[in-house]
Amino acid sequence: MHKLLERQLRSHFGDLASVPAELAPLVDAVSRAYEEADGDRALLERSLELSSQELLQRFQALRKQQNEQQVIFNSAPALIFYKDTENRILRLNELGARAMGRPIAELEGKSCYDVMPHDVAKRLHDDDLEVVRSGQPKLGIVESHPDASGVDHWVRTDKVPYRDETGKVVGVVVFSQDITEQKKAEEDLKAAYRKLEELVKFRTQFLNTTAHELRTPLTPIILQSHLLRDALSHLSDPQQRKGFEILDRNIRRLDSLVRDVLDAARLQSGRLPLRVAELDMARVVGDAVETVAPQAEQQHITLESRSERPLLVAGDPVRLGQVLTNLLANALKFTPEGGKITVTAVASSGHAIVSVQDTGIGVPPGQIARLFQPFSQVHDPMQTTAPGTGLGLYVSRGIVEQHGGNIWCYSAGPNAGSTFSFRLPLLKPGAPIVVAEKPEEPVMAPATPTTAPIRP
Amino acid sequence: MKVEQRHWRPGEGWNISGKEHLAGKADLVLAFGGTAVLDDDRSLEALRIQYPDARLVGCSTAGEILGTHVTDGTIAATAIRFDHTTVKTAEVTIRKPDESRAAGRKLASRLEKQGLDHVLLISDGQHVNGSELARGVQEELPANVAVTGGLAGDGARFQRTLVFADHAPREDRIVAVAFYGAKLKVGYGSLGGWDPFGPQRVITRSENNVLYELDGQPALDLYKRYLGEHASGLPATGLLFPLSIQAAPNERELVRTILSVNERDNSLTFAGDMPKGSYARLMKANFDRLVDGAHGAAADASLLHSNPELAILISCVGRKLVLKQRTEQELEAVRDVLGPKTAMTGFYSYGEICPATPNANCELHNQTMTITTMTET
Repeated sequence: MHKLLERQLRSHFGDLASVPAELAPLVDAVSRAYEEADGDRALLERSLELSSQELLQRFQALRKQQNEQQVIFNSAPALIFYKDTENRILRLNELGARAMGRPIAELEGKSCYDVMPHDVAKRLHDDDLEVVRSGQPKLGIVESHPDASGVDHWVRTDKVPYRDETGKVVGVVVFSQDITEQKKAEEDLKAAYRKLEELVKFRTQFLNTTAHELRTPLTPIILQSHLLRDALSHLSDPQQRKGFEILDRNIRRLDSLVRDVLDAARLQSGRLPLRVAELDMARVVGDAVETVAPQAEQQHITLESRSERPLLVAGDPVRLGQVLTNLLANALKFTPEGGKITVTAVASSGHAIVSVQDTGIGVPPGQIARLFQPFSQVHDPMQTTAPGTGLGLYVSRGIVEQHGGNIWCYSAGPNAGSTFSFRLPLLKPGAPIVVAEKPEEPVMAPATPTTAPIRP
Repeated sequence: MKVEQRHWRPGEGWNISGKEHLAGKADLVLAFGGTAVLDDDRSLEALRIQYPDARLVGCSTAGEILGTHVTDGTIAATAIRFDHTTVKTAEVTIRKPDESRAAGRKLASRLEKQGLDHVLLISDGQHVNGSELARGVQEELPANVAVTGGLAGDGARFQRTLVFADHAPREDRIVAVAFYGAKLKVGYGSLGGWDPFGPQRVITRSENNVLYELDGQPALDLYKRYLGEHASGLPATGLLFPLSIQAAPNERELVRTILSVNERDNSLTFAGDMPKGSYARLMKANFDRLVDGAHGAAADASLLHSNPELAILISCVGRKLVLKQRTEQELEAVRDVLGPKTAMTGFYSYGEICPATPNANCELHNQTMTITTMTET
């Protein structure tokens, strides 16, 4: 019997035994009805409990998600606005509110026309409507806006369509970044670059003019010196002869320095003029070696040369001769008495590779990279020679690169000698003579050509 | 320790319930009665004469408990004679709810602390913030002294509640009964049986125990919507939907019940704090769980010693409103646990006070069955 009914019967009749027997079927039916009602209620309670649990779980998940979104929304380094098609701000982040100088609560739901100057609001609205109409984002709008205190700020704005859950465009989402600082830095950089360009231009012009001006009086001096040498060949006074030789050597030296400066100036402003023809590098090597042979002999330096023949390249014989002479002059300058200079010219992987190897003072590892920069000098501990312009290797590199080649240096360190090499593309038989505009990537040379050892 | 119980009914007067074996010698008489009945002090006078040496302590109720029976408009009296325990009482008057904490401190400060074992707290049920009262009392008591008790009731009327200790029953009184003695063993337990349901809402506007808004909407409107035609019975019918309060996700949930309604500012006054920012969910009774809750509270209260001499049951008026004719079912559930020998008394209240877990500080509960058991060893 249902407990409640039992209690009710006890309360009415004193005890269950006193319940009249004829009421038994009724008591039975009422008890069943109570139990059925209990069952119905239990089912309802269970449904309510389960749906409540589900509701709570969804709610908590939603709150977590909302919190995460809020964190991203407010910590994003951008001003973010959700706007409707009527230019009303539906939602904005803290950065956005700060830029507008009002709390979020005062801006949400407001039309831009109410919280900013009409012309600015109109411009923004026009952009919005363009995005709404096209359904396409409008990215990278860079413009200047006054902030709440009237100070202009540069901002870069992206506007993307704000679609509702059915995909219909109901407004725009605006992301704006204040780029005032960046803009200022860009302007500063541009100004500095312009100034630098002017300086470079001035320096090149100055070098060019100076070199030309120096050459003008030098040409007749050289000519007169040659004439004088012939005229004074009979001079027997050793004092006078020595005096003339010093004069002659220094005139030639001055001539070479001025040439270097002129070449360097041309390189800085563009290109050296080349007279390209088919030529045999082995021959260029032979001529250069022959030119410096007397000086080598004078310095008691063994000069050896090995060349494969022919090594046909497209090049300017004078300019390539200048490169070799330059490398040989350096080798002579930095190789002590009793040393050795070996010149090799070989073909490898479609290139002519020319190397000048000496047993001289070598190059400290830290300096190799700077060798081919203008005005770089290798320190000469022997102090036996006069310092040069520091332009020779720079000019050489320019010449080689203009021929589509590379130049590099290898030295195992101080007093371990050094090897300067350059390579030029070999001329294919029957191919037209064309010189590459830019140096081609080295084919077999190691990754850092300036420090690569020679691989004959 | 010996106990005898008497029941006063209108038109019948006092009747002994069970055996009479104290011969008028008692240390404490607990008497719980209907508000109107207690207004007439003559019924209590009979008790004073019957037990001249006893402290007479009690309150008005929303239902008197004697054994497994609930009655309204009667007086349930339980006289106790201790063999090894001394009883003292203290009381204070309270005028405004915001004095609750101070009143609690003042009350506890009036109690002798030496040898203090347990405090039974009985308070006005209409003008007190029960949470603050419990806090104040606990602040002035040694940590090892537990406090249990409840707030007086006034049927389902919520108009005036009465409390007394020896003197005539009065409004705005708070009484503490202090028990001293190493041989007294006190157990306690408190369980609800209400389930939160529906969406979780945030308390967006409140002041102490007054709630104005949930999720920015007037809280009273929400109650009216859920109560439907029962809304006219507010605040009593508000007991059908107590609120579950959670300070933060994963924090313990507290149950809060409505004390009064203010139509003018759309507010609801609850029996405990409603901290702003807390999460709130409406709760509803689950029949079986209410009865299971009473059963569980009894099991907790008798953990230390089974078959206690006395069990004081303080159960929320909201349970009675839900259980209706089945109210006694929860008392039977308690009886099932405690056994037939335990004298059971108590009342349906406007708030229960008990530590949430053993050795924790006492706090205000709502909608629970709170049981305090006593035995001398």
